[in-house]
Amino acid sequence: MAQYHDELDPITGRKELVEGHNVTFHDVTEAVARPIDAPSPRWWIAFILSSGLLGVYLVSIAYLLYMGTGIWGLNNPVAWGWAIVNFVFWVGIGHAGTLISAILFLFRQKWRTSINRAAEAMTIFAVICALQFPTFHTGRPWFIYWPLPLPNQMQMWPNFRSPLLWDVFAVSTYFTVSLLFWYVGLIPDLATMRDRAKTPIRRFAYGLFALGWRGSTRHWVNYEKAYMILAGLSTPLVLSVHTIVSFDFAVSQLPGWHTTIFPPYFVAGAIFSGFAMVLTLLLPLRAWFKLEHLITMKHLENMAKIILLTGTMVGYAYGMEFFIAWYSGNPYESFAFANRAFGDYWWAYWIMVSCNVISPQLIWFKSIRRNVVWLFIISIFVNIGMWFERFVITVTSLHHDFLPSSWDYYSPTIWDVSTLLGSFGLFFFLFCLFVRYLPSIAIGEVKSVMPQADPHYHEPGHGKEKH
Amino acid sequence: MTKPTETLKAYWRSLADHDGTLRPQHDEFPGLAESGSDGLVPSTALARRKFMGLLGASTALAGLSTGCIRKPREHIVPLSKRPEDSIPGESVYYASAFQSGSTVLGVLVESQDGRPTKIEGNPRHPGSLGATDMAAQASVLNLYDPARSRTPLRRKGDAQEPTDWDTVYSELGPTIKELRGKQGQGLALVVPTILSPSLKDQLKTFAANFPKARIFDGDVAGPSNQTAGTELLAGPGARFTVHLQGAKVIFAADSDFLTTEQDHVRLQREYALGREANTPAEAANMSRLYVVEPHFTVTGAQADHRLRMRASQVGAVLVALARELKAGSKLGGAEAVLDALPEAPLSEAETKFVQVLAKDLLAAKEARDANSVVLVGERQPAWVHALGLVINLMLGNVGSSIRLRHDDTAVKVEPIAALGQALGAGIDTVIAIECDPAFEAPGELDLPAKLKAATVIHLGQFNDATGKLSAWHLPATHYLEAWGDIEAPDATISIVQPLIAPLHQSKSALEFLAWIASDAQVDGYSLVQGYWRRVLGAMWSDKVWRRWLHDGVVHGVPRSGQNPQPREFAKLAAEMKAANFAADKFEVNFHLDPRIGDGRHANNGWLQECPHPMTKLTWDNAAYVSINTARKLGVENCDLVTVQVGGRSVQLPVWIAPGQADDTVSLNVGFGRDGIGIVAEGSGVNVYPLQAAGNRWFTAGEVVKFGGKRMIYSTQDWGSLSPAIDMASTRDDNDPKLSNAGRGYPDRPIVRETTVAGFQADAHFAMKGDLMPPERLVSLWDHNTHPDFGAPALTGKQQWGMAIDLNKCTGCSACTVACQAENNIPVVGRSQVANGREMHWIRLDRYYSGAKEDPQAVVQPMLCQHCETAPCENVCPVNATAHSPEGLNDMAYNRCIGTRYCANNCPYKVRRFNFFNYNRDPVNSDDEKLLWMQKNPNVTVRFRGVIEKCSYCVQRIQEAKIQAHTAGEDTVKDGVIVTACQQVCPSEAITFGDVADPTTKVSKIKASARNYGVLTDLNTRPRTTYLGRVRNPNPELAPPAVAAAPAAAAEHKPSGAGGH
Repeated sequence: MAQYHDELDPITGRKELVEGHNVTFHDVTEAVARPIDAPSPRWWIAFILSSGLLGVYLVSIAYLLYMGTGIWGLNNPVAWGWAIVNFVFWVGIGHAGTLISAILFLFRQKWRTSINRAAEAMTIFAVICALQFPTFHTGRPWFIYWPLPLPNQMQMWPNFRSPLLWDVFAVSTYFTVSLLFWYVGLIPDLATMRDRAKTPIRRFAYGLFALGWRGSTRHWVNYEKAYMILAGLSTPLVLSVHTIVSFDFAVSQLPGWHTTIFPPYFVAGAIFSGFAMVLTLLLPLRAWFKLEHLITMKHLENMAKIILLTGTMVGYAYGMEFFIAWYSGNPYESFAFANRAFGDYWWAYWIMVSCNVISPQLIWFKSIRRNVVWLFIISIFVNIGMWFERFVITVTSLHHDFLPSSWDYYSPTIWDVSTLLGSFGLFFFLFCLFVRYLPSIAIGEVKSVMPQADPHYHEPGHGKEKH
Repeated sequence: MTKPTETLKAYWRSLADHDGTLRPQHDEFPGLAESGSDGLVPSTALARRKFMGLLGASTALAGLSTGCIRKPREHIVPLSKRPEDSIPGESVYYASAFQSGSTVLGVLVESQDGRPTKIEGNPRHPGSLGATDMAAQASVLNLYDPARSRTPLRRKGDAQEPTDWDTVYSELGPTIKELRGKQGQGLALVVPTILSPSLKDQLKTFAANFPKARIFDGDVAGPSNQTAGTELLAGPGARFTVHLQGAKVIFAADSDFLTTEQDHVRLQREYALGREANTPAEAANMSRLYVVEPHFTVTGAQADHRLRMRASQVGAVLVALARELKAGSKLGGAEAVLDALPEAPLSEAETKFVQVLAKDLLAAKEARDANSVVLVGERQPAWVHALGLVINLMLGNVGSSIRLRHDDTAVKVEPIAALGQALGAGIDTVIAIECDPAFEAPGELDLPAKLKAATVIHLGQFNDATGKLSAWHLPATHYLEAWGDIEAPDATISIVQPLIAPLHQSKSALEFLAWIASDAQVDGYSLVQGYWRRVLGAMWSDKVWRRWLHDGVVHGVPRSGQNPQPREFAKLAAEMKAANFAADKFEVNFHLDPRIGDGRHANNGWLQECPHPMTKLTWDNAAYVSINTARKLGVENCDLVTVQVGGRSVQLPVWIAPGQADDTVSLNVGFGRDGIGIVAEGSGVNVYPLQAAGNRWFTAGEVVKFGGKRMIYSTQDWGSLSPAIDMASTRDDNDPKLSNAGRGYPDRPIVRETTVAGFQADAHFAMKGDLMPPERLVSLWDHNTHPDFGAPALTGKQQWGMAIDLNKCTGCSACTVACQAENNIPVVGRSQVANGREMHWIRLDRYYSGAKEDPQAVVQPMLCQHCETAPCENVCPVNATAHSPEGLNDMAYNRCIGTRYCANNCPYKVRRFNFFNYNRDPVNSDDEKLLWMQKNPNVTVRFRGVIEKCSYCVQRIQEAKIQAHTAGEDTVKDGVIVTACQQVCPSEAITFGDVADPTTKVSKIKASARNYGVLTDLNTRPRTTYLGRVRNPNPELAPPAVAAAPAAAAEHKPSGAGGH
């Protein structure tokens, strides 16, 4: 282990959260805000590519609205296909952001500061992507507001027993709170951007959203209280959203879905996939925007360890599902699981296991978890694996259920593929806009964890010069 | 609507009911009286249209005098005065009759404001007994088929130009006159099976005026072999019908008498009655069915003992059977036959089968209250039919289960093969009436080329292969558009009355033939009524006629005094000598398709989409081969093979049909009928070109792998109740090297069956299949009585439920089509079925059991179970599906947003989703309005994006409730509500009614020991329950290979059924 040397914080004695010699507050502001002032050619490439994919998405949705859900590969036993897989996939990704910003905040995990902004942005965009799918997968998306409990003259209420309705509340609450949390956290940095703005439009726009932030102590006191309260509100949501998403499956009576392990298993999986996506996004970001000293190896290692932990939990859940299926003595249930691993979709199952259970085990090796290339590869594997996990749960359970007469094979169409790819377009398009116009690292918060922020801190040379 | 059998008079109206004298009470139809004819028997074409106007009045069509004429010359105004007895929006029923081949079904046609929309069986007609078959159900869709010919077409060079009937009369008339001048020399008339007395009468006139013309049989679905066999033995005009009442032993020799043979609807009813098994004691009295056949048919699936064999061996089995019976049964005079019986080369198993069968047949002969019957399939040559009749004579069945009669007016027709020889050799003009010889004739005859050289005049509903090469193609009417009459094989006569004026410029076969025969343009009504006036003479009265129309059955007309005697045994002995039982390398079998028949319904979407009862294929035919044959050929499903017969070959995809005889291939005719409409186009492969001129139904041939695939689609991929056994592939499911996820799991207790002995040993066998005994089921709902969140409150006075007797259901699939007609279920097309998106609300699940190579089969109708605690209802976020207080699982289509969660959570997978706007197919937007006319106005036509499913025909329930309410009753009487599937079911397997009242029929059936629910261990509490099946195997026959397999499955049982 000795070959890895990290700079230690002179006061806490722990690894430095901002690396480099003589990094000042100003340096941090500059490092984060510079890419916003002048976009790099790399940003343009990423933006154009993701806009192209967004175009694919818009075309797919337009065709879907024109023709109907039949353009997808759904059939009679498999009434939920890629759309629901994508929904759960994106909602899962949306978990890491709030976990980082809320739970790690409450646990005083200071290393969260340099990744929370981007992770929260990722959360919001992922939830936006997720919301596309339950909307457009319905047969009549123009009536998607009907599950809302809107008062009407017919006294028609939604069905409060339906997990899909719980979903509507859970995901929309999560989205609202995440958005607020993110926005509140942005306010000091928006003020910074306002103050740096060189054009009147920017000045006005940043100024408008900075809500008159002046950085006074009173502002900071109120701000930190509000932030704490929102963190407290968000924390249960992190656990509840995916719990309720898992109810979509667990509350039904389908073999392979009707499982009590689903809530914790889904939450672990969501955090797992969320952190993988944070890595997928931040590894290029820190390289291209030269933020390696802010998003340091310590951050990457920490995230990798969480991936290892949650990946192992997910692996445990996979094993436990099989045990319970066998232990239940229910032939439908046990067949559903045998069919998962060895039936028509065995390949999907084993892709899932390889990506989610086997590939994270590499993180045990320090040389791998400190290697950005390896980390990037593992994060991609985990993303793939978690998409397949949802595919395996959704499709293999449906395609062979109770009555053998209904059994059928499901395969996606070109429109399923284009909608999934297009949703990545939507996601990256929003993320590109985010890194272009908003500080992708919480400047104010990072400064607070720098040695300079500590009252006992003395800048190097201070004591000697004594001016 | 209510059950048509109740208070018949109240709502069936015939035309004649309109007014006692059939004369308008006031001058409602000015001009009619001036037509110079008596009463309503107008003699000119002009008056005929006016007559149709009157018909319109009685069908309550808006516009009265002009309503039924398709192109009114005046503006139509709404009725200012309601015609007496007509209630807009209320359906009325007319009695009529439907003919398909030689099967005649009396029907009641439902008319909605002048549009025929639904066919029901006429309970008074002995051929239908209130039920119908798939083809009759679908015939209403044929009426509105946009592809039907609309105007006469005249050949102009290579093209056909539209013209009109006046031109036909004026230009074709001289040709006909010229032919008449030559006494019909060189004229051939090709006709379908003619059962219409008035048409036969016209044919007599024709024969008188064209004595040298020849008449040929153009009907593939007709009983030509049976007729030939009967006439061989009993002289010209001899016919027989089969009756199964009291038949304790039934032997079907290549006879699919439950779906495709003559009188199959009646036979299904009689067969089902013989299979009643409500108590173990009753089960002991069940009939026993033996079947030998090459192709696994619906009848084969019912068999207690079935041997699969080449069709050419079936004759040998009958020969062996006759030998076996010779000793125990003397038949005076038949020595000529019995002594001439050739050697029958049978295998050991076949010999044993024949011995046991003979013993069983003789036992039935000796029994006082029982008889037996041997049925020979139409596919078998004439001498086998004759031999079958001899065997029935030996068994004393003639007079009881076989009833001979003489048809005095039988039309003498020559087989189509004779036309092949005659064309170009004397015959130069062909008049083809309602048949398509250019498509349907055996390929060996090369008829299309020969017809091209002749002058063809074609009357048909479609501009088909014959129409396209004809000099004149003339549109024929549909039976719902024209007057006619039919005499069923058992001599029951029905009048066919129209419900709507012809939609297109078409004439009926009767009108057309009358014009040809006597050069007079007489309308069908006059022809039919005129004929019967003549026959009845002084007995005729308007009242009699009205009674006939009302009842749909003609009373009091003696048909024949003659009684045919089978005595020409020497002739049969001579024919038998030529029999050849040598096994060919490959035997190619042809079958009428159980859905589209000989191709006449090829353009009917309901029938094309209805899964084949056994193979579950839709929209296609295939080369059906056994698993062994597929292994030998090295092919799997959809692989193309070349089938070769006498130098003619056809490529078509293979479909593994378990139960098919090895080294045979079965092909369904009627497919590949391109050029008649978008439905038939590209559906299947035409196999008529392979047929031989001599024996068109089976012949020696060759099958080789062709290479490549043509994807064909079935609606049921998994044919077994075992998760381990894939019936649709040649794989060895027990191969240890095979990764088979289902191995080690028990057969699923979805269908429960036993034998008579098993039933006697354990009357409650059906309930034993539950994975969890009912008393151990704990419901979440029982603790929750909250009005919004608790279990549905079943507060209705009447609680609806259904029972389906698996002992009676044969899988004929008539219910699937009836449901489609009643409930406006869309046809989704081949590509959508390929995606597994068929919409049928009731499907017939067919499961094979036993050895994959030679299985047994069971069928189970699966429809919405109307679970009391329905899993679908909980999960709908918008409450689009909810429980009615009467226990119905209702769908509110306009509330549904299409999350499909309900479909996922339905354990029975009976919910169907409208993936596209199937009812508004942009492909045929111009024609869709014609198809709209068929829609049932009482059922919502669903739109894109909503789920639909069986509603227990809630519209019929509601109508009955309204009628009960207006009658001052608070409950609907038992039996008044008849669901569409129940109504059509020939075997009366389905019973619907109030399960809260223990006196109803359905409650009594549900009280049976055989009653069980599917997947009740999920605590869904289904309202639809099933009665377990009881088979009646002969203990003397070693149980077929079948019995071995459940034993093998039982090894795995401890982990599953019974383990709790």
